[in-house]
Amino acid sequence: MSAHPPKNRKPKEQPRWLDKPENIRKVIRGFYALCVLIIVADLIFSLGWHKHAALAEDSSLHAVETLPAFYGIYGFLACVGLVYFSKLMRGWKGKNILMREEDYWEK
Amino acid sequence: MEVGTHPATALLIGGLAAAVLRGRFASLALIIAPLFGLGYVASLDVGTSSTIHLFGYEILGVVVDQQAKLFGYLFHIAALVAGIYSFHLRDPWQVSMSLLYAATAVGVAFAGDMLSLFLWWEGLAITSVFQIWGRRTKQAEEAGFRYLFFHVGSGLLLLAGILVRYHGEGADALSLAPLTTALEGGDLGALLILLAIGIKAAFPGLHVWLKDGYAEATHSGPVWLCAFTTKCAVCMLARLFPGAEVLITIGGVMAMFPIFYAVIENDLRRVLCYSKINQIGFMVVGIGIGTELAIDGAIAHAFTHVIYKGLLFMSMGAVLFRTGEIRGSHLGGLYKSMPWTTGFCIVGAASISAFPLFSGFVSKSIIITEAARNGHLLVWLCLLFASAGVFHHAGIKIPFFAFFAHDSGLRPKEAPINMLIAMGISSFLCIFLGCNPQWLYDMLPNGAAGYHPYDATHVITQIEILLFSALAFTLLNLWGKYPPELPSVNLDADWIYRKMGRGFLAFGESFWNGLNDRAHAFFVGSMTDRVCLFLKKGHVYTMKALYQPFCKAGLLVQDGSKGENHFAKRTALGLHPVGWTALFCMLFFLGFLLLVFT
Repeated sequence: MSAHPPKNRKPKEQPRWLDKPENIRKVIRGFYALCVLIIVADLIFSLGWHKHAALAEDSSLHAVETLPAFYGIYGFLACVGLVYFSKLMRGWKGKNILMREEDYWEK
Repeated sequence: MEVGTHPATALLIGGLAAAVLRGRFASLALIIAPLFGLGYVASLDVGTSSTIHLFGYEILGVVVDQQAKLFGYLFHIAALVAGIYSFHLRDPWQVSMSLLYAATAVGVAFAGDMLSLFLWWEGLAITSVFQIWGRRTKQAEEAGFRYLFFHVGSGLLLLAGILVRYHGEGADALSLAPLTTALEGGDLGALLILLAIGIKAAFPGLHVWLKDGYAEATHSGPVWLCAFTTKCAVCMLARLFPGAEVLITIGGVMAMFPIFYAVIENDLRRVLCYSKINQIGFMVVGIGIGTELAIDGAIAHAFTHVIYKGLLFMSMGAVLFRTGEIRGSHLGGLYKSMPWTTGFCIVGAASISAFPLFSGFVSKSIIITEAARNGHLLVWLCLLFASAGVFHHAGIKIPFFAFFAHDSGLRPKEAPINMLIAMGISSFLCIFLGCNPQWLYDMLPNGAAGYHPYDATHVITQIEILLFSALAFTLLNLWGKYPPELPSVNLDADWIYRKMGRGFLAFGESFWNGLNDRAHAFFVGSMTDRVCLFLKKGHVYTMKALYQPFCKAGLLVQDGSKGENHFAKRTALGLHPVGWTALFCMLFFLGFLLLVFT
């Protein structure tokens, strides 16, 4: 028969909604809006109603904990610190600290 | 009042049946046995017990209290879900050992005294290792041995602790009364028992078997493994060491260090293992705080944890099963062909992160609140950090890198129907418990003392901490600062003993083999040669030495040097003139006679 290679039988895949970059941008922007919303809710709640603190009144961190958005800021800083420290755990300036190649234990 | 049969009987019989039956019938045991067991546990009354008499000792085989009943329910539900998940397995070892493993866990939960605890404790170790060995690769075999090394060690430490306490205090030591005061008073037996439980609970430094073994197990293995061993350890900690101050510190460390490893780990199941250590840290802190509500929180957290951790391991197991790949660097874009698995994974991820309306929220918040309420500030900060961290690595990283992120091009089929059903049941339970916390709280030993997780403060602060952790993840990714998934392994505490072990082996090899080679070279190489030479040539030299003086004295004729060679040759061949032999024989004989008669 002919020397042509057989035609690709698989139908071309439909691009999904998340494959388009502008949709991803929409999702992220919606997410930013959520963050702002929760801060607003927190502010309204601390100023309008009484938000009961987790720490007792005489505890040293009580004043900090009752600040609106304390938890948000703490979570954000904690994660950023976490990521940077984890990157440090991998290696420092090109030299490996804890990271090794995949077959390290099989060699 | 007596309990009829041991609560673990249904699972034990199921395990034995699965060992004998084949094919689908063996797998049916995976579903029927836990159901029967669950029904039986539900029928048990709190406050009953049963004793057996062995070797003249009275062993309290079963004691039913609220905590035991709760763990009994938990283990049977976990066995049922894991059984449905593993329905497609046709390996009789794995299937029967899974059920026996669940049975030993139920045994530990209902154990009435130290002796029965020890028997079930050892059973846990032996039955669980088959989930790792079932994978049948060389790494799995070795990981299984390392796992056993730790767990059998745990059993031996437990036995040592029991014996030390028995020696010190007699038969009282065999009861499961709290050992906190003994531990804080420096009792060696209590310390040994704490170490034994600590190995199974993955205390820092003793945790490496978890991240090592579970990641080398079969695709369904960790679903079984995660449900029983560590929860039995938590159950025992709650019984034996409630309120021990040292547990707060240990738990705090356990909640912190794994999240760093989890961020840089490539093997997604190993990420889940580190996440497990983190969650058990929460439970250990709860037990360490010691108030009724804190211990309730720890037990509630154990309950919800088994379900959502099982769910997460199930989704990852499904990915491994369909693609053969579990490294984050090689996965991505799987949501396109595995939408249900993705959805269930997201439910599990939301649960572990303690999103409101999911099960993690109603249990984790108890522990954190109790830490704050009892003045443990540093631990409270650590637990908050850990909560944010957990969302980061388990809530976001696992679903994102497996199912979304960059498209890996893999288009695996959706997970098989039995896995989907199992994941569906777990997801349902996660959401059910999250929305109806009172159902769980009513089963707790102290009823969670009127704790209400759904008040506005809790919900807002929790959503806040989660959203901002997600914000950190998003921004770091958008700015390219997030560590990429790279094919790698990270060194953990096992580096110490694995390197030491290899060093010991290498030293032993070079020393003993070198000795062997030297001895061989000396004895076989040179000594035998020399002995051979002596035997061949020795008598020739001796004869020559005797001959020389006679020649020199002119008594014997020789034809110059040729005669000497001739003589040497004849001697070497053993040819002597008969006359000489006769002469010497006569001389010796005469000499002998002279000696005898004088």
